[in-house]
Amino acid sequence: MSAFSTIADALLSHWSTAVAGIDTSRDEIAIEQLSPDWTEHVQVVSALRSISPADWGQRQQTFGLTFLYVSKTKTASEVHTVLDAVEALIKADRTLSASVDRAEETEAVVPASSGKGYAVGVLTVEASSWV
Amino acid sequence: MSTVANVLSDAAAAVASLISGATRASSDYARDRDVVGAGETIYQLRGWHLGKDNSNANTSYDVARIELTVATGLASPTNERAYTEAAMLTQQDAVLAASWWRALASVYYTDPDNPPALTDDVARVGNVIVWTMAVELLVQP
Repeated sequence: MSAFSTIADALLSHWSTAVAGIDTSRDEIAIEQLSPDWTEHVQVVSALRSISPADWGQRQQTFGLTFLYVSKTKTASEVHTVLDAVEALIKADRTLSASVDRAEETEAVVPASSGKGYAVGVLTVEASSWV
Repeated sequence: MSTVANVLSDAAAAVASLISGATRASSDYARDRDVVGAGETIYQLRGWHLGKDNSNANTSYDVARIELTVATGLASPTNERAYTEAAMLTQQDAVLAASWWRALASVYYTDPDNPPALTDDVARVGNVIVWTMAVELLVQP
């Protein structure tokens, strides 16, 4: 498994911890293409930022990962609560050196309570791992 | 008559015996040539002449400085203490004893003014723990 897959899976596992029953994906998927019965979903878009070589064959890979979180049931305020929880879990993960940025555009596209839309949250993470 | 090269050879054998599975680095001075995998140990041995000890009228001793660097890849990077609070301390306890060096066939005596000691703090590079010690000694004439 690649270093990115390892990091992405580790970070997505924190989403699963924070949001029971959430559907997770390492691929970009259009909301319209999700299974009709989805309630909570998060997907990750990533890019390798740098590779830093060190002594003894050690290399530090740094990835930028952006998580797009959508929920049919949560309000924008509740989405922020989820982002808080995930951010805390990532920061507490001793296996990663991760910095976390909260995107400003977190918003409810359409109030979830209307039953017609979903709330959206974006979390950006810079995560490093020694490989 | 022994030489500094003999000391290095004897020390290499002793380190390999002390640290199970340890292999000597391809370079004793460069740290970017060898890859230390998880659970592996690579060591470097460096030695050079410091001068002659002519305090004994009947013979002259080569005085040498030997440096040993040990690089160990953590078997479990998230459980660093499984090494740093266990095998690492055992290994240091052994090589920081003057008697360990005096037991080498090519070593006559260790300099009491420069006993075996770590030369720097123990460091972590990625998933590798690195430490270096040095000793000054007299080579068997």
